[in-house]
Amino acid sequence: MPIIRANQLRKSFPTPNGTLKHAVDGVSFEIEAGTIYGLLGPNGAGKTTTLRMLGGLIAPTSGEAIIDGHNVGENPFAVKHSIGFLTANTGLYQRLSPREILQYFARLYGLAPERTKERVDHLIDWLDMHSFADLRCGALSTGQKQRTSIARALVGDPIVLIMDEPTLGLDVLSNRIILDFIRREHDHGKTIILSTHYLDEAETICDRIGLIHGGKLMAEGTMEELQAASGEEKLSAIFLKLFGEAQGEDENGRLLA
Amino acid sequence: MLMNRRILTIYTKELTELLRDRRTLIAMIVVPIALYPLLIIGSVHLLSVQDGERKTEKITIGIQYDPEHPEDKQPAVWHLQRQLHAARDIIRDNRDDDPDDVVSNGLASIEHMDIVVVSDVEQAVALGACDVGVVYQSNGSANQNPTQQRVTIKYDKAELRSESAVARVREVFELLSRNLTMEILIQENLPFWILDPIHVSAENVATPQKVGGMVLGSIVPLVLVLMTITGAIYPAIDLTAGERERGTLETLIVCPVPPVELMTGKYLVVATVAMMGAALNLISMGATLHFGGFTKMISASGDTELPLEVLPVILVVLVPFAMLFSAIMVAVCSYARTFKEAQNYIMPVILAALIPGGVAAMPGTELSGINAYVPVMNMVLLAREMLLGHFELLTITKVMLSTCVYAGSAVMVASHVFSTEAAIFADSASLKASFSRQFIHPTKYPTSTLALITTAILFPIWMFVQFSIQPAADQSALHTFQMTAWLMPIALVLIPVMLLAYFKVQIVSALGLSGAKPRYLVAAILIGLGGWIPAHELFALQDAISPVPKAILESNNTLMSAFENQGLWVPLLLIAVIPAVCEELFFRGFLLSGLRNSTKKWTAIIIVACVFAIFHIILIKFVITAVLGIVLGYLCWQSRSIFPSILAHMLHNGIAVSIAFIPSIAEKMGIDKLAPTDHLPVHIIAIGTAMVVGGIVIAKDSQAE
Repeated sequence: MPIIRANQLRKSFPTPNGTLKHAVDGVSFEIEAGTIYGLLGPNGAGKTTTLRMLGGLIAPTSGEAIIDGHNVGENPFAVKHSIGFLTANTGLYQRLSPREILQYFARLYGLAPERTKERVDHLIDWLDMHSFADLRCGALSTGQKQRTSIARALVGDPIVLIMDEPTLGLDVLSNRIILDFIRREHDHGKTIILSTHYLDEAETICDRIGLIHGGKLMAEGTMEELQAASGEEKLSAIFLKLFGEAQGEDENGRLLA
Repeated sequence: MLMNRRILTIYTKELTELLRDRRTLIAMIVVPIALYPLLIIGSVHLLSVQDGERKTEKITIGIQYDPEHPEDKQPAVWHLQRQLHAARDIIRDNRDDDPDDVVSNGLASIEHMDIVVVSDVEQAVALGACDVGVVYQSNGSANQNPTQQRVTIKYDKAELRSESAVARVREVFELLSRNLTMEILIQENLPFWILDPIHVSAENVATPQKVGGMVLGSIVPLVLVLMTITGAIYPAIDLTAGERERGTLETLIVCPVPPVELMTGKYLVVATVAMMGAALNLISMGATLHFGGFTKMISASGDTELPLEVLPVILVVLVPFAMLFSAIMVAVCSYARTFKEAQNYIMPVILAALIPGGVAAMPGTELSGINAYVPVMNMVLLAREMLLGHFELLTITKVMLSTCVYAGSAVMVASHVFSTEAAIFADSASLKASFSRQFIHPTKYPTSTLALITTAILFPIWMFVQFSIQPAADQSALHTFQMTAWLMPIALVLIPVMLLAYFKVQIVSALGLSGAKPRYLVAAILIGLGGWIPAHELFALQDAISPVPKAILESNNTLMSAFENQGLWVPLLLIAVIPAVCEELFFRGFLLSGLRNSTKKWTAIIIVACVFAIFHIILIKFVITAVLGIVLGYLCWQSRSIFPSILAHMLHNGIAVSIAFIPSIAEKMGIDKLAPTDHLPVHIIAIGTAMVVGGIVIAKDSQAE
């Protein structure tokens, strides 16, 4: 029973010169509960837009997405309750401490006061945030901020975690912490869908991978399935081969990453 | 009460964060506390210094002489000098009784006058060689026979120095003139009163507080309004555009919180800060006026007292104003993606607020008619009225209600903008493009934003129209009815229809132009025919609780006289048919269908009914009109068609007209010469109530879908 189902998702944006841009153009996939799904593609491929539609942040122009039995378009609030969403360029409230931010979001998710405290303490333990939990966010390092953001995404105890570029711009050490965390969440039965353009990272951590380009899902499957279909060994080679073909079809001559 | 808890959470967090910002604190607390004392005391000091200086400043008086008669030069100077000495002696003689009197000032003002001789006085004054010029008109006659002497003082009106100099020189001559008169009177043995055979004096009956209110009323309201607006600027930008710029907005949108709640929470914070700012400004201003010696200064003559105790009341009245402006600011800033952009958007808003505010601050602008409904202006005027000690409940209600209508619309707009995808995700699409018509999807109903903004804009326009077509003294009220019949379709039907067409909303579904099932029409007939009876009783009941002014009761007579010599169809068309069609299309059609998707059934019906009642100017009839609006709204909501409510409305108004114009109808019911406050016979009340209840039941039962 897939916990996430995207069916022919499409999103078109008007552009200032009066035309429509199809950022996502008929993407369909299914994700089984308890797996890590990686969405890979160059910049501007439509990864972020796809994730935003899954998270109910923007409405699809057509098509539908079902998460945990709720239709995202029809019932975005039910969906938002069951997911945690980590955005790419996450901002934090500079004048609040991580603890205060977590408390704030816990209340927004409708947690009762005693449950809020419990949950916030647990997350600070879980992500080892004790050393900076009570400092103002303005004074934190990039890695500390990213941990705070992840804790924020987890505060509603979601069953699905959507992470848009979770390791973007992090140093090796912080990167390691985040990947370890994703594995731990996975071990606890969470379903995780993440987008990235670090290929080796996706190769090591994801159960299934979807390759997206020009708003279309080009290929999808486990690492083995992708290798079998393309005849290439490394993900980077598969990536280049697929997108090389795609580029020939792309009349706009779209770029590669 | 989950919703309220979430809003409270947002409110608390935003307020905490904002108060941790040093910039907010400086703008909100330091500025008002330090500013007023400096500003007021400084300017008062400067004014008094300048005034005093001008009285004792050295001035130069030029005297004309004829170059061809140089021998006249010295005598002319001597003549003027003698006159100055004489004036000084007169003042000295009178000085002993009251040394603090203005006379002592007069002395000082005479001491510092220099005399120069010039060949062309006019040119000398114009070039600034002397401050004023004195020209004696010689009449050539002998000195022994005194006749009227003529002196012309030349001065330069564009020069402040010259203007104060002319006053001082004129005083000298007037003093001499008075003295001369006295001497003549004594000589001729005439009584002094002959100078002033009818002594006129005006006495002020205003209380010192009222005079003080007048002083405060000319400046305080505008300053407060400005300060409230200023206080809202920074938080409004910070909580909307600032949040977007810092990238925290996306994390908020991820949460299961409806944008309206987010916006309400944020908006309440802005309103709170604006109120706190206004309160601090008011306290600081009051304290400065009181302790800064200002009160003492203006009340030196004892007939002025600043009504500082009214200031807290004004603060209360300022609440809806702060709410309105915070809403507008938040709505405007929601369009901006960055702090800078938001600042650019805010400037025109402040300028737009200054115009009605400035007009209101001008003496002579009164809080009546349309002015009570013009935003900013009504608040400035109301504050001034209060400082003058006028507390008129009806006017206060008008101002408050209309301000609330505007504020509510602004908040709705803000939450709509704030949840627009293009506005949240700066990278996803052009915000401007998403507003262009080509990308608007055709819809069945207007958005609540469109409906509410249109209402908020139409409201003052319609009020203005209503007031401007009130009959003049020599005009028949028929003119007003005719004008209304012309303008109503334009304002309430044509404008909304054009907007619907622009925004690609299906007119038929939006205005409910599809046919209604017969039973709704039956319900409408019952309600329309019987409705006037409970309405009449309700009005009589209201009169029993709080008596209705005579003028309103007599409006029926003006109505009758307006349609004298006209066929019955004229009042039926102008009062029953046209208003019923237009008002229903706008209120139950446009506005209600705008709220249909975003608001709960009864909330929507009640909001529309209240707006409907406010549009009817006469606040005395607010309750009745609102109740009628609720019934009509219910009819429309149930039937999903506009026709039943048009029918009911038309019948309702038509019957009222018929009873007024055809006496035999009332006679047949045994109620001839019905006064609006008389009760109807019991059996008629019973029948009328039964018809209305029956109509409502039919509308309710037949809700099959």
